[in-house]
Formats: sequence, C-alpha cells, structure tokens
Amino acid sequence: MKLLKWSQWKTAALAFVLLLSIMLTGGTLAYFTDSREDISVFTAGNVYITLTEAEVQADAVGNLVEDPSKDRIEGAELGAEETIKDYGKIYPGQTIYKDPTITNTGDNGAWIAAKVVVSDGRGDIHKLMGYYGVDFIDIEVLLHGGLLDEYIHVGAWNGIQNVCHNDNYAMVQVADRANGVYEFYFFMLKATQKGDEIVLFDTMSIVPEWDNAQMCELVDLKIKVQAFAVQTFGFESCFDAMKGAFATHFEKCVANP
Amino acid sequence: MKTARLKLIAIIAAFAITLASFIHTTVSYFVDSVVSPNGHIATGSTDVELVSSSVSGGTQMPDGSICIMPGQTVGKSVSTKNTGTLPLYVRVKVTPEIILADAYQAHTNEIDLSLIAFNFDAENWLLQDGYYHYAYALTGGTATNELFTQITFSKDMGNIYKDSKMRVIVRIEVVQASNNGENVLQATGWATAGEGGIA
Repeated sequence: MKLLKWSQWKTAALAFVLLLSIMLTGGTLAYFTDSREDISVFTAGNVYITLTEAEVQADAVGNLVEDPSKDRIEGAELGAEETIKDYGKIYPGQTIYKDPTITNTGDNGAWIAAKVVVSDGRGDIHKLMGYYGVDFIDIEVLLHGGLLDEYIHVGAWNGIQNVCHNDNYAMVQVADRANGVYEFYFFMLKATQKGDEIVLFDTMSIVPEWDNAQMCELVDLKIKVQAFAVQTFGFESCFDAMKGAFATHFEKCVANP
Repeated sequence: MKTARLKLIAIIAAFAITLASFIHTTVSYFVDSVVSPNGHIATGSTDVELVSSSVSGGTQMPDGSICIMPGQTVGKSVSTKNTGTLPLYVRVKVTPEIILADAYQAHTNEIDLSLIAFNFDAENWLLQDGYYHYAYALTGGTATNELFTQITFSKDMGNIYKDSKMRVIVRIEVVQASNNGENVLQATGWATAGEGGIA
C-alpha cells in the first residue's frame, strides 16, 4: 500500500475537524424556554341620542295638531344638512303642536343639553315678548308644555346670573337683540339612562290679541333646536360635560354674566 | 491508484464521524459535571405561571368583555412566577388591539393604539426591542414585580371608537438565566410564539 501524500492527509484532517465542529456546535446552543399568554377584552361604550318632533296636521279650525299616523321627524346630525319644517302662514290664536323630544338611545348614561335659538326674521320679536329694560325675551309667551311648564325660580347658577332652574333642569338665555337672536340653553341636571326622554316644549301658540302690526314682527321667525349628549363618565355635571365636550357650542352661555 | 485514494478518504471520513460522535457524548458527560464558559447544558425544569388579575372597575358585558368609556382607568395587573427550578430571565410583550365597530370601519386607518396606556414599572422592567425585560434573574419559587397595574383608556378617544372592541394581549417568554449572557438584555434563545421546552 502506498503512503498518502501530505496534501491528502491535510484534506482528510480538515474534513475530520469540520465534522467535529459541526457535531459539537449543534449540541451546545440549547436553552430551556417557556411562554404564556393572557388576553383581556374590552368593549367601548357609546352615546347616542335622537331629536324628534311629531308630524302635524290641521284640525277643523286650522290649528296644527299631532298626526299620529305619520312617523316622527328626526333631526339630522350636527353639521349635516338641517331638517327644516315650514309651518306656513300663522295667525293670532293659532296653536301649533311642536314637541322637540330628546331620547337617550345609547347603552350608557349620558348628560343631555339642548340649545333653542329663536331668531327674528324681518321683524323684532322683542317688541312682542321682551322684558322691559333688558334684552331678554320671555320665551313662554310663544312656547309651552314640556320642561317649560315646570315650576322654576330665577337666580344665579354656576356663576351665571338670571338662570331659570329647578332640580330637573336649568335654562340660560343669551340675548343678542341687535341681531334679533335669542339663545336658550337647557341643561338637564340629572344624568339620563337608555330610553329616557326629554320633551323641551310641546306647543307654540300665537297670542290671540296680536294685531297685524304685531304679527308682522313674526314674519320669517325661526326656531332652531339642537340637542347634545356627553358620556356621564368623567364629568360631575351636565354643565361640566357640555363645557368640556362642546366648548364651541356653549361658549356664549358660559360667558354670560 | 485513484480508487485506492478514494477508499482511504472514505475510511478516514467514517472514522472521523465515529470519533466525533464519541467525543460529543464524552463532552456532554463532562458538561454535567464541569463548568465551562461555552457549551454548558443546564439540567432542571422550566415552568412559569402568568399571574394576572381580572379586570376591576369596568362593567361586564354579556359577552364577557369589559365595557369602558373614554377617560376610564381599570385595574389589571400582570406578573410572572417561576414555578420551576431553573433561574429564568423573563420578558413580556404587551400588545393592544382596536377593532372599530362596523359603522366606523371607514376610519380604520385613524386608529391610535397609544390611546390605550399602561402604568409600566420602569424601575424593575427594562424596555428593549418592544419587550419589557425583568431586570433580575428569577429564581425558582419567586415572582416578578407587577409589570403594570392599570390600563387607561384616553379621554381623547373620539366617536369613531364607539362600540369598538379592544384587546390587550400579554405574552410572557422565559429563558434559562444560567450561562446566558451577563444580564437579561444580553440573553438569547427566547421562546417564539407557541413554543416552550428547548429552543
């Protein structure tokens, strides 16, 4: 047998070392491990309200009464195209059924507030229902029922003067007589739960004694109603909730001296 | 001559394989009783328990989830107990998830997971590569400090999050501490998802 050349020995030795390295390396990087997992699941709550009014129909003498055969009119979302109801020509002594109703349709408690904006058209409604010497108007000359029929007293509330309030709600008026715009802010003082309803008022009535000149002050009169809801969690009161979540909509009310 | 050379190489290779196997067996035996900086295979057991409290402060829904509102903080704690015998390194990954309700699906690309916040213990848990690493090796029978004890849902959660489903997934991974880096941040060989045993 011939002896191997040196180069052949080198090749064999290299192969041996390589094999040895692979065997040793494969056996030394083993670690004991373990793992566990925990999953918590949450569902966010919600706040939903609807603002609806009844459809109306004329009765025998021309008053507009509730039409129960039709679905209630639902208000649009804030910022969306407004729902407009035109009552046409009105006359002294007429009553119009108008019942803006806010309903908590969500699953969670909510603070609810509303803003009713009464604005002149071509007239000056302060001449018909304004308080003497101040810019405020007495909205109950025109609107009745619902919250407006509750007994209230007038005084300071949350640092705001001349607020009509009781245990159930507070109403703050912001008057801009120069522009003929009168805003009424309704704050519900108790948190609402799913299904609770709030009827702001249910009737608009025209004073029978108003003559033609006075009726002219009502031409193009507009009444706009907006409703707001904020989760109860994190807010001690309706006032705080509205200031916090709808600061822009309530800034005039907060600033009212 | 060529054939003879090839035969010789084959014989040497076979001998090398046999010798390597023998040597490997010999090294394992020595490793049990000899400490070396490399190649030490530890014996013992790894077993770990994820100790998590149930959520407190929220309202339980019929589906078992917890109802929360923006601005709410609920109690929830997570820690790890070494129920085995080997000292362990521990790391935890916390992953929040939000799935919007159908009505708001169009806003999926606006989801902000930072609206779910935790009061992580930054003193005992070190954040690296998305994992919170317990700063100390955990000996058998002992438990870590709690990684967090509260979950806060930000008051800045807007209306797109109404009725959304949120999950908080906590995954713990452990690896032997012995001969595995100078500290937990240098350890390797962590278990990947669904694994345990020997990595």
